[in-house]
Amino acid sequence: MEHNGKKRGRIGIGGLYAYFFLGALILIMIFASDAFLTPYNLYNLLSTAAIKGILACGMTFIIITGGIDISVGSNLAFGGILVAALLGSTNATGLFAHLGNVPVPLAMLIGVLACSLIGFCNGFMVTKLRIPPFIATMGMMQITRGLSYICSGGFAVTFKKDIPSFQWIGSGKIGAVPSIAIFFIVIAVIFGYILKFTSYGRFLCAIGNNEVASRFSGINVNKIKMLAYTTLGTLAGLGGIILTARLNSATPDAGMGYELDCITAVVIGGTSLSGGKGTIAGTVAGIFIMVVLATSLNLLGVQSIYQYLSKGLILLIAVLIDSYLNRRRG
Amino acid sequence: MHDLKAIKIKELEDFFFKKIVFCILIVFSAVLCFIVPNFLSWQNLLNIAISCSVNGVMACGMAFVIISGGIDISIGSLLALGSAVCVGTLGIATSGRGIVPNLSPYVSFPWPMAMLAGIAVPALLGSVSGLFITRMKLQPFIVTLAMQSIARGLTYIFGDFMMHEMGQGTIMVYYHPVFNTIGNGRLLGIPIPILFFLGAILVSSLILNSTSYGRALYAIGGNEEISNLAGINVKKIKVITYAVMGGVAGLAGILLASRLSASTPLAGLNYEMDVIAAVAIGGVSMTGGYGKLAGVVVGVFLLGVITNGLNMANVPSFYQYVIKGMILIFAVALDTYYKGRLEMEKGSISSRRGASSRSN
Amino acid sequence: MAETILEMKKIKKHFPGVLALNEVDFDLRKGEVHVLIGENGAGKSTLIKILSGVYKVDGGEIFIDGKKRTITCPNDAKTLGIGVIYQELSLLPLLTVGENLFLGQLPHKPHTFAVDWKRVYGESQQFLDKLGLPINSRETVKGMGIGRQQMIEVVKVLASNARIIIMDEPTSSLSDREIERLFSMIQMLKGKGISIIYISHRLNELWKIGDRVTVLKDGCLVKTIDDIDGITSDELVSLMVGRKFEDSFARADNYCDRNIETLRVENLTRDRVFENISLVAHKGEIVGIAGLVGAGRTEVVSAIFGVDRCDGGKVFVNGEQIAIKSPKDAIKYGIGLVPEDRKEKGLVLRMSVKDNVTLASLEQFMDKLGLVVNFVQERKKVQSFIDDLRIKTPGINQVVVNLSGGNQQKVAIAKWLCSHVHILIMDEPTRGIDVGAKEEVYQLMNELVKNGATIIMISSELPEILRMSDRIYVLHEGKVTGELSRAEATEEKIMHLAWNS
Repeated sequence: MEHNGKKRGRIGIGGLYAYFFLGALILIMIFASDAFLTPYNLYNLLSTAAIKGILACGMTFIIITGGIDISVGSNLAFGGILVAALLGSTNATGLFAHLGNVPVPLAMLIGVLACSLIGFCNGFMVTKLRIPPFIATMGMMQITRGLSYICSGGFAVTFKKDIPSFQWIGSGKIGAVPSIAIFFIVIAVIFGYILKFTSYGRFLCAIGNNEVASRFSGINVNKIKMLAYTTLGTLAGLGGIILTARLNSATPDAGMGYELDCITAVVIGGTSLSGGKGTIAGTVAGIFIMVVLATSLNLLGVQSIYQYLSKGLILLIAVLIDSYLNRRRG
Repeated sequence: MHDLKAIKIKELEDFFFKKIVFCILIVFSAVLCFIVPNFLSWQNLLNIAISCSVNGVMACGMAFVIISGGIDISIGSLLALGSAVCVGTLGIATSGRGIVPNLSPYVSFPWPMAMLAGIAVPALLGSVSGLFITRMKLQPFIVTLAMQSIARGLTYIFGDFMMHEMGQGTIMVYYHPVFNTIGNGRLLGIPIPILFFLGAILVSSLILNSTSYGRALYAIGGNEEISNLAGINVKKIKVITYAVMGGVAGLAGILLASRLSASTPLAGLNYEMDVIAAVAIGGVSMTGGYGKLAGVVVGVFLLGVITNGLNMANVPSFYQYVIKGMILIFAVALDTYYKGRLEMEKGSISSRRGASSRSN
Repeated sequence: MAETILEMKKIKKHFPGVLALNEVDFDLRKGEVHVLIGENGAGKSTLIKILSGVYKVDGGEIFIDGKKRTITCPNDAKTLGIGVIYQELSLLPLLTVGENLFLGQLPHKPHTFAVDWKRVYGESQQFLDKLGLPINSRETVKGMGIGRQQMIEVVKVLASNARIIIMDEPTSSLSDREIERLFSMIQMLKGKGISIIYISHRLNELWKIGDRVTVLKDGCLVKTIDDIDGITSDELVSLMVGRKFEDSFARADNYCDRNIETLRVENLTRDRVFENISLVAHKGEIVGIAGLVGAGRTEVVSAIFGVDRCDGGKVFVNGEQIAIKSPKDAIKYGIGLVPEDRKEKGLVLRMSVKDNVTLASLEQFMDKLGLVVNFVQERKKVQSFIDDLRIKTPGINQVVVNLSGGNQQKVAIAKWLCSHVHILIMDEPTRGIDVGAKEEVYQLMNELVKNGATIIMISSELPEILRMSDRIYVLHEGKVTGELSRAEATEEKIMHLAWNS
């Protein structure tokens, strides 16, 4: 009884139905296509899901507080450009043309910190300046996208020489598992853990549910929110590094549209856009539903033009189910 | 007496806060006049206006949506769909691979019909969004995010279908005398897209200011419950608003397609961001209930002038993003601060009011 | 004698567990101001909500102009010529006065879609001028003071051709000058044959504008007085509170230790809300704060708790002056607040009992790293509160929204017990909960002070405040008008201080 109640309270129905859906999808695909269960396909699935999945974990936090961040894609591009430039790049244009050969760990640290700072600015605008999150992050989206172009000169930033340790981040393997999938799993576990087991996670939910009551309980609402935006910034930096390492170059228009994909995955995973509830498990399911669906349609020979339609319909169906279940629960 | 003085200072402040975007526009233009020799030329001004017209037309519709307290991020896709439907049904089309007369047996509309279709189809999808938002009580952002994908998908599918499945990325090129005039022709020396923009401004400011529908938008955005109690049909008006937004996006799509002589399924990508930015810069409250069309027009032009001016001044287009983003944040932050201060001034009274309203 | 325009006979209204109105008769004559008075919760609001169609009546009949009518929705009331001015103003601040007056029914120019602004502003200006209001119909409502907004509300009601206007505490947030203006407006309306039902918490207003007065108490009609000049405020107060004391209602125990002062508030002021509030509370003491709704009680404790800013004054805890800028600070100094608005401020309704109880004190369940919540310990602690406080819930993970009001309140209290506050402020702790749960809350308060806590209780229910408090402060319009010890306090004394009469 009690265990049951716990499941309903914390995981939420949203997360559960997303897994049913994902399970059904996978099951159908296993029968429908021989190519689905091949190592190659699974490898692809994981790698495709990983970067957006990492961002979606941070996005879940923000959406739980009732906010939104659409600057994450541009933020990722900027992080990538910065790190690539720091590692020594071939391109001769742009602001970062001669940044030169910084050691890998330092370059990554700088990249991640820069993106964290951008995230912090988002949080500052939302909490202290009280700009609506959508507008604040939209402004930031344009600024960081512009910075990416300016810093790169508009061209892809490629490396002068191979940096194996860096490239491993994007295309290495541990056993049969791609390294970036490991990153995704680790981050998802950490974030899921934070959300479920720490006071921070509980404060996020409390704020999203009822900001006033949270304040009345002594929670520093602004601090918690700012931390959430900063965290997403950090993850965007991380995502930028991984993408750069994977492609062996950084492009200024990397990550375009990632923000909307992330939001879609989060919402499919049962997190309500009005905040207050949500799970990382659901978000992970949401990401995989989107990726598996896309791959499946490819495997089944459905033209890629139908994928937009399916993405939109899935999102619509997901929120309909969610709102229906919520209404039935009272 | 000292009241009067205080009022004067307050008026000055109000003016500063309210017209700040306009001031930025003037200052920015003035600076450009010095840097760029041709900036103030008639031709360049026309160019700016033309480049503003597509976003401008949509910004008018978006103002409706945001004033009513909603948001629509599907307009970029609806634009693409509108242009595809219009071009596709015109009946003469060629593809990138050479002339393929539109052999489609399905449709070949006369041009007014085709244009009507190009407006009606997005309007229909807009009203579907509206229905989901009002009937299912879903959030506008999510519904229109889904609609963004759906409309984009329909654009691809429709294009593919009309062009006999020649693959995605289908581009339709066509020649049609009337249709091409819409985007490139002139009437009384003024480019027709500008006329459309002017028309949109005129019509929507008329609607917003002097029809009961327009006023209802303000009322709903201000307080949905009070509006409902006052006998306003909130749901109906919201659905109409999203339908209008869709229709307007379709019209913008037709303008764009006609000007570029092409309809690509990628048309209008991310236009929603620019349009929402223009509306927000124009001082329309993102929570609804307040906003003037004049502000929106200034917002559209500010973004247009930034693009044009920086291009003319040979500033790499990259900087436009940064400047646009900063102006957006600056304008909205100022607006929020100003409104917050107004709230503070009344805060002490309203909190008392709030307390006393809880009796019994 | 003027004709009777409205007659309500044997009106009954049930709410779950409460009989809000029990066979109340009420009548209204043409062109009179009929004042309705009574304690908080006496049934005034219920009565007018029935008349205005917000509530459905459970029994009784309503006659208007001698004809029997049924009112089932606000629109019915509107068409019958009944207009209400609620305490929460229903104007849209960003629209103009004229537009607010015509909201939802803007007139069109003939054969067009265009709004006939000339008519909107012309007619509303006419209305305003006719009533002698110096208001421009083209102004927006936003900048206007509450007083003016109230006038506009009156005009709005008149514009819908109301013959009966209900005013629910219209003066509660008006300045003296604004009140004068409102009263002269009421006089003029009377002259035009419009009848007014006037609810007030200020007794002295009654003789200024009232023609008759009806006193309600506990959902029953006490008396309708035709000759108001023949009655004194003392008599009215005793009519309102005339309740027999039940012996069981007294709290015999006294745990108060006068030597240990836990909370001292000096000259706390917030502009235009309350001023120079000074309070003292001791260890083991229950301090009651009485006063009418709107007297500023909630605002004072909100300021002490750091939710609202204050413009002056000092707060001492255990003799030490402290600065409280946020609830977090207050909790740090051992102050907790159980707010009146439980659902909005006290609880996170969609979270579980466990999460709510430990929300303000999660840090005590942390592991060594200070990051992770120790669930075992947390569950144990919460379970112990559920047992001690007898919170009826299927489990500690039950979502709070599904609990009854009384159990919700216990959860809200448990939150502060769990964070070991020693000064507990309770704002209307028994509002909206049933009798049994009330008793349990009282017992709980008793136990708390027995263990050395200090409780500051705001309550609008006089018997409750008399029963529970060791000392009582009475507030009237943002000022302390009196301090009564348990021995001195009577309902009459409190009411006099609260009405400042």
